[in-house]
Amino acid sequence: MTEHTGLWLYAVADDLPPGPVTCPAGIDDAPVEAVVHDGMAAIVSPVDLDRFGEEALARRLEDLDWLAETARRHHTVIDAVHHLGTTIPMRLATVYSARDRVTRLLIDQRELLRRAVDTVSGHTEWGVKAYATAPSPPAVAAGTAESGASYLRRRRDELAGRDAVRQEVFDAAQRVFHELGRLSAARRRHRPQDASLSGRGEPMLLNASFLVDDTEQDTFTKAMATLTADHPQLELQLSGPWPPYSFAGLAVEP
Amino acid sequence: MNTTVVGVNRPEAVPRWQTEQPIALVDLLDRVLAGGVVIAGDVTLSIAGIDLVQVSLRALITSLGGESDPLRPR
Repeated sequence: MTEHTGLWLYAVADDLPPGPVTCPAGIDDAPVEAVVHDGMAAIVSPVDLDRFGEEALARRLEDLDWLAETARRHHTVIDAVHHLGTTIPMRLATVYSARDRVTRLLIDQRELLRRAVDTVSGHTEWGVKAYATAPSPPAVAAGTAESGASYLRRRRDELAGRDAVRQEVFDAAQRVFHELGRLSAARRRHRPQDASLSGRGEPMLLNASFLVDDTEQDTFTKAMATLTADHPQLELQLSGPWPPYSFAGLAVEP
Repeated sequence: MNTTVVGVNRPEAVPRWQTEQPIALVDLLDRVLAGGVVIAGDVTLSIAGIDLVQVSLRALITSLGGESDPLRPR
């Protein structure tokens, strides 16, 4: 490694098969390798520090095209490793200056990494989002003559009705969160995605992740089907299986 | 180095439905920017302290033309 080469850290994995890591190329098409210490493997690839140093990275994180490409590469590597052994994903943009610094991380943070492995081992992360399905418009007879007082009364009822509907779908989404949470080892809410980002007109009512025991996967997906059938006012979307992004940090955060 | 190999602990029976679809970028950013373990790299010490979700939202807003602001108070 030259002075200007650093190491991008994707994940730390436990129980990987011995030998080279079978994995697609990493960021900038660089080959991915494992720095192994005492059974734990840090999954890294070399990066040019002129472009992946702190200042350069902070600037480029604001460039959506770069961010999208980097996030996808980061994920592609983590997802591949996730299929080889228990994987602790690292947050985007964790870069080390030298290999011995990565080994040092494996030594210094061993307890914390071990706890994270214990939390996610034998589990899978699923994402669930909920939207309100479009409400049917209130029936108003067309062309009916209406007094001012009647109009105001109807308008007031309409608005109150809309609030009640909104509250009802919101409550339904919370019930879904709690029902699926009961079947999970852990659950976490993400902030709802803005309508302009989700590409949907209706607001997102729920954006959550669930950590599901591998022996409970069937129960979980069956529950999703039942909840979908029981809540016609909601559109539920399942994503995954994900590497345990939303839960590996739980063992670490205070 | 005492690497122990216990093998792959992910059963093949894990349902794969919906995984054929490409992953939505927003779903991915939810996870790679707000999830994962936060450990400061020795090169990127201060980046570990940045709220990357805010950073990505700024990038997304810029790309969308900046008319709607997802950070507005609700």
